[in-house]
This record gives sequence, structure tokens and C-alpha cells, in this order.
Amino acid sequence: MSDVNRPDPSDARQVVLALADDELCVGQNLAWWIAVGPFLEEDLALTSISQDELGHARALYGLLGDDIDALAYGRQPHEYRSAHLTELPCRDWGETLVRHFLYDTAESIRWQAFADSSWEALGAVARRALAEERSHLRHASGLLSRLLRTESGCSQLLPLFDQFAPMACELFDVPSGCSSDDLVAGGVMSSPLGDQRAEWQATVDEALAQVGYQPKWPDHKELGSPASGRDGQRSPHFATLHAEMVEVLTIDPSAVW
Amino acid sequence: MRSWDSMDDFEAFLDDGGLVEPGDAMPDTYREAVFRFIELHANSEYMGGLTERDWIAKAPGLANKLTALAKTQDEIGHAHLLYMVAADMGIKTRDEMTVDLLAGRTTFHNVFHYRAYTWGDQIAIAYLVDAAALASQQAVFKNCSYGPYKRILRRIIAEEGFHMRNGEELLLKMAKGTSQQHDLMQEGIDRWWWPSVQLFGPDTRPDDVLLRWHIKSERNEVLRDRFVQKMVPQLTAAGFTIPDPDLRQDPDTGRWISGKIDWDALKAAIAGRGPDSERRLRDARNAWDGAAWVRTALDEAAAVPA
Repeated sequence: MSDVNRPDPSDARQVVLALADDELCVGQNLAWWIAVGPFLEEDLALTSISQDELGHARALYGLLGDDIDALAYGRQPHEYRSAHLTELPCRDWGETLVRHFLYDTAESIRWQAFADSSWEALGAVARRALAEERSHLRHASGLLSRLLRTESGCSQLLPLFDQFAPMACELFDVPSGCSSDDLVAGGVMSSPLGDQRAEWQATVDEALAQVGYQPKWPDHKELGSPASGRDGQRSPHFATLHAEMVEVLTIDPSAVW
Repeated sequence: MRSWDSMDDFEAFLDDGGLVEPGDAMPDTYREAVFRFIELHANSEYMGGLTERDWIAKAPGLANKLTALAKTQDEIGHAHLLYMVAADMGIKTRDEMTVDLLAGRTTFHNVFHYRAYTWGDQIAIAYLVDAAALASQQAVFKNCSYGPYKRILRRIIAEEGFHMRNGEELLLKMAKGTSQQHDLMQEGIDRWWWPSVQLFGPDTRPDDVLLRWHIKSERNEVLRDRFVQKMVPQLTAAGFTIPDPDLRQDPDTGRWISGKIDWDALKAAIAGRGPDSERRLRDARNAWDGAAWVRTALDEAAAVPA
């Protein structure tokens, strides 16, 4: 790993940790869909995506340390940096589809910004992930655009955009104290998070333009404020999610499973 | 389209190792029997996925989580393939099979009426149930007369082999682990041993058409005995006990002989009175009903131009 150009290693590590935590939570939530999706093909698709996201989490934690399970499961809730959107259980399939679309659209843009990172190992993870994101997005966009051609699809899904799209903006926040501009200057990232978020919003708007809909985006001034998830405040859903993740591990912390 | 003048001709074709294909004018009784068998297999793969999914979220560590998820995904993939092969037989559509299963009108294997209470149960399923299922499937594959079923069994068997090896690896970790791990594993074995033995079913009746028509190639009791001979030494070598107080070894042949098998437990489980059947079916029914709008809307979208 050539890290000579890395400006502030702790900033870059904080951002990678946040992304890894996002992937861990989304992967965990998507895995729930095995055997209970609307049809078997969809169970298989969602859980393939889940495996990809958990794989990304593993690769990103691997950039931060050797003991991946200690990073993934050994921290206290306030030490996680996940965006609250990723912690939502989304036990309704419509909720899962909307989160999936918002999240994977965002991810494609985030990974693209890391593809030529001066942190070479991160760049390699990003390039590998990008190839997978293309198929995730095909899945999400394909279902979304088909369902939005129907009345029931619109009535089920559009209100969810109002609920989730503002939350999803947090995906482009960094933990407070980290500087997105410094990461760009040091070559860790190719574009500032504000630009990435603008690109993402435009993509979401375009997808919903077919039905003449625009999500209620938060006021521009509210964006860029320190985000609670990125700063260690967990959403109400995290406790259950985390308790399940560590249930067996905590039976006997000295055990090798 | 191939056709046969009489059942004798058809059976002679099967005895010669002939493979029946969906377009053939097969006897209705054969079509019906093979369909029922594949539908039972498909339902069981699906219900197996539903049994195991409780432990994916809780699987200890990322590597185990990914393996557990991939394994359960394989089971659902098997159900998917099997339902398509069954639907091609023209007796029921995929949706009809799903609705019948969820309404309790069709059956699935006894083992998937039980609940996986702990991570030890999850491993016991991979180790015992997958091994038992694999042995049965290999015996069907060996001589299977229905072409599409035989072809997908090849893939299913390959994947089940991985599951069983994963079960072995996890069981050995528990065997070598802490005393708590050992206890968890022993409790899992205690819960899943008998259902796994019962999975093979009572002794095959002499007039079983599935044997005559080359769907099954071995009698239930032969497969069951082979399972016991393989599992007892493995489990005891790993330091576990078998929950069968009457289990004994024949001093002359060295073969293991099981105690009395409770076939009423098998019948009750299959009749839908197993300990966890209703919760499992309710989960599946709620999921199916809750997502009805998605299926309807996608059909609707397919009918209108983009």
C-alpha cells in the first residue's frame, strides 16, 4: 500500500469506517429477505446484493485492521458511524426497494470518487465494488421504473421517497472534524462530498421525473451540518440490529466460531 | 412427442434407463406421482430456507454470516428450480403450488416443522439434515427417470455437498471449542438427531411405484441405515453423544443398530402438527400476502408499453 500522499490518515480512515458501517447495516438488513420476498427470483436477487454489500464491508474493514470481526462487531453502538438510512429495518418490500435505489445510486457515485484514490488499496476495493454496483442499480432501477408505470406502484413507493430521500443525504456526510476538501486535495477522493451529493440528487430526480415527482429535499442550508449517524448517535433501530449481529458472539467472547 | 402403447411398454422403457421429457405423452399416473414428488422436494427446500433464515442475522462473525446466507440462498435457489420443473409438468402453476403450501394443503419434509433455537441447531441442520437430504437426493439422481429432475439434481447435489462440508467444519469447531460451545452443539444434536433419522421415512413398501418407475433407486431403510453407520462414529469421535439410549453396536458385524424409531412423530410433523409448523407457515403467508401488490403491479406494468 502506498500511502505517501495520504493527507490526514485519520480523516480517510474515519470516512472508510463510515462506509464500512453503512455496508454492514444494509447487508444485514437485506439478508432478512431470504425466503420472504414477493417471488423467489427477488429473494435471490436481494440476498445476492446483501452478500455483495457484506463483502464490501469486509473489504473496507480490512483496510483498517486485521481483525475484521472485532471492527464489525466488537465496538460499542456509539462507535459506529453508519448513516441512519442504512439502519432502517425496511421489513416492507416497497421500503426495501426505495432504500435500495437511493443507497445504491449513492454508492455508485461514492465508489466512483474513490476509484483512483491515492490510497491505492481503497481504490482497488472501489473499482471492484463499482462493477457490482452496476448490477445492483440495474436491479433497483428496473423494478422501480416498471412499478412507477402503475398506480399502485406510485401510491406505494412515492411517499417513501419523501420519507427516505432526506435521510439518505446523510450518506454524503463525513464525521464532524473530517474535511472532505482535504481528502480531495490529498487525492483520496476525486470530488468533494457536496458535489457527489448534488450528482446523486440529480440522478434520483431524473428517475422520478417519469412520473412528474420530486422528493422533498431538505433545505440546502441544512445539508452539510454534522450528521448524527456519522457522529456516533444511533437511530432507534440500531439496538435491535446490533443485538442480533452479536447475539452468538457474546455467548462466549473467548470462543472461536 | 414420444408415446407408449401400454404401461408395460412405458415401464420397459424406464427399465432400459430411458429418460422421460416434459413433451412426452407419459402415463398420467407417472406424471402425477413424479409431480407430487418434485413438489414435495420444492416445498421442503423452501421451508428449509425459512427454517435457517432465523440464524443468518445472528451468525457469529462476517465469514459465518456470508456462508449461512449463501447456503440459505442455495436452498431457495433449489426451490426455484424445482418449482419451475414441477410447473412444466402442467399440473399446477408455481403460484398454485405456493398458495397450496401456505394454506397447508401440501406437505414438506418433517425436519422443517422444527425450530432452530440456537446456533448449535443451525449447525446440526447443516451437518445432519443436509447429510440426510443429500443421501436421499443422490439415491434419486442415480437412476432418475424424469430428465429435467435428474438434470437439476446434479446441481442441487453439488451444492448440498458444500453445505454438508460446511456443517462438518462448524461442528468440529464446536467440538474443539469452549465448554459452552460443546453444550450448545450437543443440544443441537439432541434436537435434530431423531428428525434426521426419521427424514428417510419408514421402510419402503414393496409396491412403491417410485421405486418401480425409477424415481427412487434405493429403499428408505437402506439409506437410513447408511446414514446411521456414517454419523454415529463421526459424532462420537468428535466427543458428542447420540440421543438414542438403545443404540447398540452389533458385536459381530460392528454395525450400529438404532433403537425404536417413533414414526408417530414423523406422521404428526408431516401432517402439520410439528412444533414450529404454524409459525413458519404464518411467516411465509404474511410475506406472500403482503407483497401481493408487487406481483400484481409488475404484471400490470408488463402489459402496458414502456
